[in-house]
Amino acid sequence: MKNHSSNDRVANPTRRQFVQGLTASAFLAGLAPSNLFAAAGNQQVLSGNTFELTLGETVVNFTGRRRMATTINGSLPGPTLRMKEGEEITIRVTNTMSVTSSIHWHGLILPANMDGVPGLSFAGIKPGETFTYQFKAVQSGTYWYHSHSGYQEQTGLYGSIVIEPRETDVVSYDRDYVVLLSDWSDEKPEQIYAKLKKLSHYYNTKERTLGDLAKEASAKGFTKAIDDREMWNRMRMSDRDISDVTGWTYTFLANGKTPAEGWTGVFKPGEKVRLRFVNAAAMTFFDVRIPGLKMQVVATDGQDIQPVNDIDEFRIGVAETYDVIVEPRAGAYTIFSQAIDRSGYARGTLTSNTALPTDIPKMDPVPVLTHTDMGMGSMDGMDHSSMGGMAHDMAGMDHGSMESTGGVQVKRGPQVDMVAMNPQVRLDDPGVGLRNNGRRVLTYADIKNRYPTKDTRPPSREIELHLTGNMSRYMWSFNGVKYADSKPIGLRFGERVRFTLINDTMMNHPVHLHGMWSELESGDNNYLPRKHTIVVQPGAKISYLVTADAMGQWAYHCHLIYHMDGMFRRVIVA
Amino acid sequence: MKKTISVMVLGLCISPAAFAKHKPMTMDCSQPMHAKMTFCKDLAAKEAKKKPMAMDHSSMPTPVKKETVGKMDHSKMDHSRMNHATAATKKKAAAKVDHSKMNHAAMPEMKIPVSDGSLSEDVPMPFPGAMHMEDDPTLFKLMVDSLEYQYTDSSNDSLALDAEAWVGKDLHKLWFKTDVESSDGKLEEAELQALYSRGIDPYWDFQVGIRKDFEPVGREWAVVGLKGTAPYMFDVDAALFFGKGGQVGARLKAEYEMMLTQKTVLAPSLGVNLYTKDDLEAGIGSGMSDLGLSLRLKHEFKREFAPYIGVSWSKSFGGTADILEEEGEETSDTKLLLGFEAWF
Repeated sequence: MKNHSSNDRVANPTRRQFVQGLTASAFLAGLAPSNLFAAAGNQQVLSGNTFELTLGETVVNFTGRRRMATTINGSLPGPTLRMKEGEEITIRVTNTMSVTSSIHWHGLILPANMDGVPGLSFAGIKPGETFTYQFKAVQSGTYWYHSHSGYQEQTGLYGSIVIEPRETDVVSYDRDYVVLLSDWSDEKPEQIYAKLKKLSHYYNTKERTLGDLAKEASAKGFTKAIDDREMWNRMRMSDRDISDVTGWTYTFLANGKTPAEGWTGVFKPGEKVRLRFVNAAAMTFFDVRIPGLKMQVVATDGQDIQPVNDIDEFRIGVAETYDVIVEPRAGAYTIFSQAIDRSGYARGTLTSNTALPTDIPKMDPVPVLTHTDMGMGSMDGMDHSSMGGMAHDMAGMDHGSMESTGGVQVKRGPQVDMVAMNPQVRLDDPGVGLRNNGRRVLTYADIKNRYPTKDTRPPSREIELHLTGNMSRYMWSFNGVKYADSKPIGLRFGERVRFTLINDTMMNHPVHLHGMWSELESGDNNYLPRKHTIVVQPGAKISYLVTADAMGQWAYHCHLIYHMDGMFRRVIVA
Repeated sequence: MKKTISVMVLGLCISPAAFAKHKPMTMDCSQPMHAKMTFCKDLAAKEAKKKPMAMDHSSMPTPVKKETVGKMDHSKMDHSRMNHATAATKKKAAAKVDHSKMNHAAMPEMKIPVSDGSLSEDVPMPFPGAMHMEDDPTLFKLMVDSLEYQYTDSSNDSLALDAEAWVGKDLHKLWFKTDVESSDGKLEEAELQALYSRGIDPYWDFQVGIRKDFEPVGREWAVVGLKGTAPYMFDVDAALFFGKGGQVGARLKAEYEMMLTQKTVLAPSLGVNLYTKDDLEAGIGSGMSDLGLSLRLKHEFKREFAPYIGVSWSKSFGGTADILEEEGEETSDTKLLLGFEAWF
């Protein structure tokens, strides 16, 4: 099959090969640190229906400093697991680390006890133990896996999964590559979290300065510039609050390669190349484009969608996946994945000849949040430059008494610094930093399932959850209630429910429901796209339908690792 | 100063307003009227469907008790939004429609109950104790707000430390503050506060505790205060001190950080002390005792460390000024500051 032609794969490496690889890289680490991450960045591919994964610790060097990473089979990212739809899959995961671990198969529909969430699925994999996961691959597409214990995902426990369809793939291509994006920090995750709690803007090196005000004043007049600041200052918030953790500490990786190094995928001119993008970052949203190439988006979160043509750029939220088809002519193309706050980028190259030089584009300007992102409604959806007068009106409002429009009331308090006054459904909004950038940017409004909606029942009820937080105290919650203080969400087996998420914060949150599809209400109810992770833009509202067809207890949470412990619920289907 | 105080009061007004919570209606699906409602019918249909299904509860990690789930969220649902009066009419109309031929997905949106979805009672986890979620770890922070050398024409140069530390969680902290000033190797002023700090608003902590003065004279105080960020990003620390014999002191500190560049910060600050009674031994007269204004130009070499140069002006008033004058000291002083701010 053509699909198997990718040359980045090492078919079925034996255990012996793997052990040799580890020894070699450990040896090299002692000699030349720079050689090690070449070893760590190698994309191992394991194929078949039985897999052996070993969780351990390996020295890596992404920044010039040696650090201990958590790795799978000695590599970061872990090996790509290639399996086939319909097969019974066995994955033996051995934990050689000194702490309990786990692996969650992100986006796979499987029994609750195979989902890999300690406490809900099993007790976790203790040091020295092997846990055998067994499930049937009931779907096809691009997925990923990662640890669901502590901050192990931040330190490297993640990898991609490609499930080939049982029948011929509806998407035709000659070659496919996984492009797994992630964020690495030399700092310990606990340290990052503590810093955020002590000084929430610690990592923001693009804060507003007096110079910005001067620029704005000369552009639109002093009074207006001051007026525009009014609301932000009153609310004690910053319109530069894009990412909590930034390139100040992160090195962004593409398939485990640093931007300096870059990952390279080779193609033959005339080939159709399928790129399977996975965002395995702990905290970073990426804006992906390949200058010189139009992309056809064919799948998201593993599920085929009606192809969206001529896309220049797409934003991939943490834990989302997007599959695109490109048909490059001979040449070298940069796969440029800027962090949403433009504090850095991950880089790959698609080339017909590795000797060709590549151009690295400049990063876009630092995005600035607008009133729309504050949940104050949208005048025209895009151009907010004319909204200075509105800021003035806002200043007269009592922010303390703002309340939500739906059935669930959330109020401001120590845990909640803001409640979106007028959250809008903004499916066609490419999001902060991508609006009116002259490129065709994919939005959720473009995404329609390739196949008709299976469960056409209307929802019988609606669960409304506000994504809430206090940025300055660095606390996160749903409806102002953090996980530790919450009761589980109950679903009746078989029922069809609408989830409505309202983002009362200034950040994008990727919300992931385990075990069941989230069918995004993206415009056409007959073709609801099935996703496992739904991005809720700041100040926005979004809804999706869930058929509670999986018994058991499931995790439901924001996938940003430093938000997750608060912005989390157990979902019980019974 | 007046403006700063009003800004602070404004901040307090913004604290959570009372919400008129709707009273949850109880709904009994067995009652005739309710039984006709879509939601009840839906539930009934599900119950009927559920029974013949061969569900293997035993294969679940921990079977969830049906009774518990049965109590699901009725109390929290907003049944008041359902239209009881027209339920019967709607049913008649609905009876004429052949549902089997309808495309439900294309149907116009019907009002459905909205809730936060949570169960009224907790359900045990299948593997208790295995999920280690720590959103709120106990942390420690030490802040040297200023450690500076103060040069002045009128008297001896001095060394001053203003530092804080806390240990605790998001909303509950044990908070320490200290102010020390020495001149010519002699402690002129030294005080230490130990407070319980409780988050009461997104940006404000309520603080209560004790203050002990070591220099110039030993004094003990009870402390009640507010610390946080006022609108327009003023960092404010306001406290009342209750001493022996009905002496009451009030202190307000406010600072604003204006970012000139990503690393250079211009920070004007204000400090004012008031007392209700004279305390000659401590050199305090009743009324506004002193006012200090300063301006520091800081450079953050890293987030945790910012050396600065600055200038401060302070003036004593009323009884306090009288005492100073009697001792032949200046009531107003301008100083050049050289120091640093640090935390970890």
